[in-house]
Amino acid sequence: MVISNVRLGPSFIRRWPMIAAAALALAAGPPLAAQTGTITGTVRNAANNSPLVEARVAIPALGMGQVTNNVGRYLLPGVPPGTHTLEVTYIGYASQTMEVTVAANGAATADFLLESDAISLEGIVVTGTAGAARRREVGNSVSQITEEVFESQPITRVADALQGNTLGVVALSNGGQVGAGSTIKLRGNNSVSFSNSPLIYVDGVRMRERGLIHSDEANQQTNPFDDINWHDVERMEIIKGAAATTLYGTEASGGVIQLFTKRGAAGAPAWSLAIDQGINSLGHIGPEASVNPTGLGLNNCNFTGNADFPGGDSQFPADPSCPASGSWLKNGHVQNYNLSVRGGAERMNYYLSARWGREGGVFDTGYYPETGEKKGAKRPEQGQESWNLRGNFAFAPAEGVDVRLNTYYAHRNVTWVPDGNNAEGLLLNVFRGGSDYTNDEDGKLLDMDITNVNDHFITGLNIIWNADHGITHRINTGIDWTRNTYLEERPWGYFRVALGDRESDERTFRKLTLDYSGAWLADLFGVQSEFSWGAQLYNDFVTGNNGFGEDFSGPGAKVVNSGAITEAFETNQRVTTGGFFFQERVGVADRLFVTAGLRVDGHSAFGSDFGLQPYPKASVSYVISDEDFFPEYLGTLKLRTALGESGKAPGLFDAVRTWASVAGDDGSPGLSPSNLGNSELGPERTREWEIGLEGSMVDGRVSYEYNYYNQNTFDALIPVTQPASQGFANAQFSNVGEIQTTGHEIGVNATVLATEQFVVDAGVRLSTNNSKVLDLGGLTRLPYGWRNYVHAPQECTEAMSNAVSFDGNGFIGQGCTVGEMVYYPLPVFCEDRVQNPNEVAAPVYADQCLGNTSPTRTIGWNAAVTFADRVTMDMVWEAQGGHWLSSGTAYQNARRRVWPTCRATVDRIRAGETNQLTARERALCDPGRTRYGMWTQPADFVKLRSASLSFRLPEDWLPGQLRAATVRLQGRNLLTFTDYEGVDPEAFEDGSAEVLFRQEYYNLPPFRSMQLSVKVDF
Amino acid sequence: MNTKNVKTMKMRFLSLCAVLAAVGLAGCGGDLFEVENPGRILDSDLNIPRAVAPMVVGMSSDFSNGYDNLTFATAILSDEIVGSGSYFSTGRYRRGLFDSDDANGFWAAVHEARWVAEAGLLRMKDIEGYTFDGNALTARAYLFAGLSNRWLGENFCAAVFSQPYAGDVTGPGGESDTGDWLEHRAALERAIPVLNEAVRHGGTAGASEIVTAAEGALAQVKMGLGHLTEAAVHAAKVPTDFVYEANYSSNSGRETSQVWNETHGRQEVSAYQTLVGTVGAGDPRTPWTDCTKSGAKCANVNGADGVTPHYRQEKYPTREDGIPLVKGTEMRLIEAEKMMVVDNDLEGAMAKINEARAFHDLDALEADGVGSITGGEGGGANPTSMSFWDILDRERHLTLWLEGRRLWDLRRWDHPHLDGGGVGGYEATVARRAACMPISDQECQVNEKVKDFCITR
Repeated sequence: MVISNVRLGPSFIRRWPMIAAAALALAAGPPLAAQTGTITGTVRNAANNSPLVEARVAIPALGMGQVTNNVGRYLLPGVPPGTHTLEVTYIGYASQTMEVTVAANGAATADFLLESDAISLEGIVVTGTAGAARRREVGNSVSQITEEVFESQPITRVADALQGNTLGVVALSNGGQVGAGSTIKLRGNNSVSFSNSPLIYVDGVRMRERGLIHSDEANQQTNPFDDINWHDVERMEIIKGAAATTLYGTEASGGVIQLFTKRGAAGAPAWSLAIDQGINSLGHIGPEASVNPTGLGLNNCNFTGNADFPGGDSQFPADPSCPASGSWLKNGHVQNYNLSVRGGAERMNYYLSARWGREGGVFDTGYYPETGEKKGAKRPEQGQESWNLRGNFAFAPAEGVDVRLNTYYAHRNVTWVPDGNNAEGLLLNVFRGGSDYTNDEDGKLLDMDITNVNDHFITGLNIIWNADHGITHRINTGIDWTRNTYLEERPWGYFRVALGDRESDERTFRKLTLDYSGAWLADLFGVQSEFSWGAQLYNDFVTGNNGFGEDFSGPGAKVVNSGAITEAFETNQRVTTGGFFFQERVGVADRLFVTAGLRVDGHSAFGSDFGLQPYPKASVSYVISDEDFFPEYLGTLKLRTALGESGKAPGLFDAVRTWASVAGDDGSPGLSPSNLGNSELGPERTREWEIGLEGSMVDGRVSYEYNYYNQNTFDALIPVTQPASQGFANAQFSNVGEIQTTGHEIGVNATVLATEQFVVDAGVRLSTNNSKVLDLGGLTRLPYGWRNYVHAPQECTEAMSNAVSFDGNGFIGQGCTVGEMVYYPLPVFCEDRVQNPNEVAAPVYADQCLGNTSPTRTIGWNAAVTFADRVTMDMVWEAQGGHWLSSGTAYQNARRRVWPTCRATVDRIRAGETNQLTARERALCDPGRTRYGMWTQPADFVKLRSASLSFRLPEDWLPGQLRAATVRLQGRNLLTFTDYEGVDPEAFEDGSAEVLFRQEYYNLPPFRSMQLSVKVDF
Repeated sequence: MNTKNVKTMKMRFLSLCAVLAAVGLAGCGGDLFEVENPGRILDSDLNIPRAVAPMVVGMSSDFSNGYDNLTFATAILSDEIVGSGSYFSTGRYRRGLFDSDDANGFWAAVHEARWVAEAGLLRMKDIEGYTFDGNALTARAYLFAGLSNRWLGENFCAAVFSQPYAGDVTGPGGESDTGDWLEHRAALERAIPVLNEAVRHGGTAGASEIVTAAEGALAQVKMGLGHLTEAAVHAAKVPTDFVYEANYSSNSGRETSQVWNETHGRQEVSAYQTLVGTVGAGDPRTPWTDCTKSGAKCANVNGADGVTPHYRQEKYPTREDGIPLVKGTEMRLIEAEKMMVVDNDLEGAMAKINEARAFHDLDALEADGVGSITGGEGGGANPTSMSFWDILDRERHLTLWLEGRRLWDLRRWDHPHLDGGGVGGYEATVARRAACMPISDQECQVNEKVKDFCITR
């Protein structure tokens, strides 16, 4: 089912000897036979002229075919004299044909430049399809991100490629600490209690899809997804809903992302070297400079005044520990070096890569004070250093057998500064000016060391055996292993913990994949039949030790047991998911395809009374453009619909009654209730119906896709609080909830202009996700984090109907008819908002639910202009919106009279004019009256996600062995447009933590990056 | 049979094996899907004598784990201390606001503490090989059952006791635990028989500390029920120097005192402009440090709100300091209150007050009359009045400072502070301050019988 790297069908495997022979012929040169000719050439990416390896070049009429070698070259020997139609296909790119005339003993040349086209009907996809399938056969939407995105955009982690480039994906940057993970969601939220993140596979091996150890001090966590070297990625396939993920069963209702890494190809070693140099930086922070000259004390921590603020800013007085530069910010140096090589011989090929990089953060950590143990020394620089190695090998030990071994190792060392919702957070204390925890000597906080080290190893073995009679077997086994070491230390003499403390947390995350699938292709009375079957087993193991020591005896380097008081914790969890599936796909006339399948799963966490779980699926794909009645000028068009289910498992031991081991009476062993237990506990199930179409027109220059989906999560796992009066206070998961999510996805890509000198490509992608909680099993609403709720439907009340929106942005239920049902998104932000804004009186509040805290619509658009096939300008914009964000920063600062836009009101309060203020003014800026709800606003934004200008050097400029060289100037997150008045609409209080809620709370905004990159092939 | 046929059969055989392997993999259920998560203990494994001791330690641990949070919250909600931090909730408590949403964690904690003791006793009775009668562990479990019901009855506006979960044995309260709304007194009344059992079993076991603590707790609950004469009888059995505490420790994070964490580890509450802050740092019952003074050795001069001077409590200078639950000095004040209310004996009552003061080497006080509780200007206790009731108000305030008892005194006396009193220079934003914690929102959502008793924001 999830065998990776199956780019070409069984016939490709059988052609291995021929491919190898052709490769040798490329090296040897002379034609293979007299009275025939040869065709040679290259296949390259039209966007950046990079070679496309293993593109298929064929003359269908003659049954001849070949694949390109490791530098994109091909050779077709033994071609009969005459004019032939040459066809080139490559996954993710629009196919091309060309008429080529070959003379006897002659050699013709045909070079191809392929345009990226992620929805070509002839493209092969493997994710969620029980083996390789042509897109025309697939009844659900499959998105692809090709190598071109990684080549042409300023990517510093794989997740960057998901921003603005594909349908139905929300990827939020969260914060500006280098090394922090991002949040990825496909088609919004559909689970109340568990991860809404998609499953992630790398070359068929399932990897941990969630973050690693959470830093309570930096309020961030690293994500193993970011360990992947983006230079290695050949493409990503993304399937988004239950209709597509059924074959992945339990745990897959959040969607699936599968990465495919590059592979070798026959030929001499082809090297590629990429070097990036650049900076990360931040602009002005917070409200505009006219009221906020210091940028909340961050841009300028030594401000002595200007015309508007003679004598300095009283809210943000000069900080005696301000770095010498006068700012807490700096430009972080970014450097990356990547070297790869690929090549191969008759029955074996390889792809090897190595990368080293360092990405500097934007904080100026400055120097230690001139007193103390480290007097005057430079503090550790915020940022991350990483390196990785990859070796991908393929060989064919016997006819019909293809074996691939992909191995990857990554090491990443991240240094953070304390941040977020943390009394020792740098931003919290800087942003609060003098009303902070440090007596405004914020540099003291940087004495705390926070480091996070990831060692990540992924290896997978794929075996494909093309047996006779159309039967194919695939075995895929692998391991994803990550060791995350988190260290946090307050040194001896630290200002808040005088004797210091140290935490050392080391955890190992291991996922084992064992996956077998088979397929039997047959032609039954003119009807194509593909029967597939398979079984998978995933074993998830987390183990680790966490030590904490405090009260050191003196200065110097420490270990946990340097502390007079120590604590230790151990984690040791193992969960197994397993199941099998059957699927039958029937094709009629290669245009109508009907697929039906069934997945059956077992899971460790199911209740004892809960058996195996069936997840059915069915889909229809109809390539209507193949019908005679279809107008030719409309190009190709496929109609499709799919219905399927997948699930999400409960947590470990949620099904059984347990007690926790606790200590009491000064260290004596004790027992405390842990989990009530529910023997009938099962997975929550998401059923999705999807309908859509995809096609192309104008000779493939315009391609388009549309999807409508309707997800219904029933038996949703809800933490039902038991009546505490019964005694067992902890909530117990029960399958009682129901959630609906619907949305539209529309994407259009077009080559707007194509002349000899200019090619202009453009695309736009619009996605929506609208969630609605239908049932909470009788509960009214459940709190989730900071004033975020999962809210059951409720009848409209008169108070709700008549309530006021003080800022005109509305609220849920505004103007509703009394008695009608009001539904809420998942999750929803609810808090107090003023109801008498214009009265000169104390504010009167009403609790109002404002909207979803996750984006409900995304629009990405891009444009690329290529001049003379050498110079390319490329831009990707992204807009996200439909959601609300609460600025904890503004609220808490208003409470402390240090929020710049509150100056005038605070001055009047200090002057004793409180009673002359309007309720709106008091509700926003009166320290004793303000509320979070007053500082919660729509967080729509538009960002220039990436912009690049690249120049491919003419070949005659290149010395010696160089095959190609490209210079690229590129930037990321360069511009932001928003009406949101907090720090940044993308900032998130708890980093990449796996939670539903979002709130901005003293977080660094995502930074912008500028890079100059050089790539050389030789 | 030729080679090709053999090969074809072999292929089909292997394919069939593959299908069977797939089916078999899913079918082997059992061991394959065993979950591993060491650390938890299955409920069914606890019915053995050796599990009793950790069960009782767990009762102590659950009690302490909830009681420090209650102490912290009610100190702000009453007039003991001023919320000077950054927590959203403490800002509400300071203003006298406390609704059912605020009550969720506190309601859950008190019921967990009560249930582990009450249900634990039921389990202990049935454990084969465990000697229930006359066992010190039994006595201690009864004591925690009584103290947790006192905690519930004193601090919450109402009591609710429900039958346990389907399939469980009959609950601690038997069929009378119907899940209905009950007056808070029901919890105090529920405490009496279990405390009597603590005295009985403790006496047999020779556990004098448990016996004395149970006597003191009986004095507290009977005074709460208005049975002052009976209360004084129990109080008399508790020496002035006796203290029984909720235990805290630096052994693990769960065991540390939240009151210490919020005052020494952070600066979330302050004694600034409270009775204690006004009386000064000289009273040995209410020590505090003015962090604004140089050399005070505080992490910051102000509270986490950046504005309020941090007057840091020193009653609990370490995270290991226990919070008194029963102590002899309170017993003398109970006796004083009984003498005034029942016997109208001002002199005898003042003697009892001064007996408690003498224990702390404080000068004796002389009342200038009986009077009534007048409260301080703007709120809190009257800091200067020398009428008996104002003295008793102050003495209980200072004697029981940061012990989770002040809100109960305000409530049972209908203290003037509840009528819009402010704390620490902050005015209340409501005409009537919350005098108790309501039934929690979570209880109301799942217990139909009480849903109309919740207070929404």
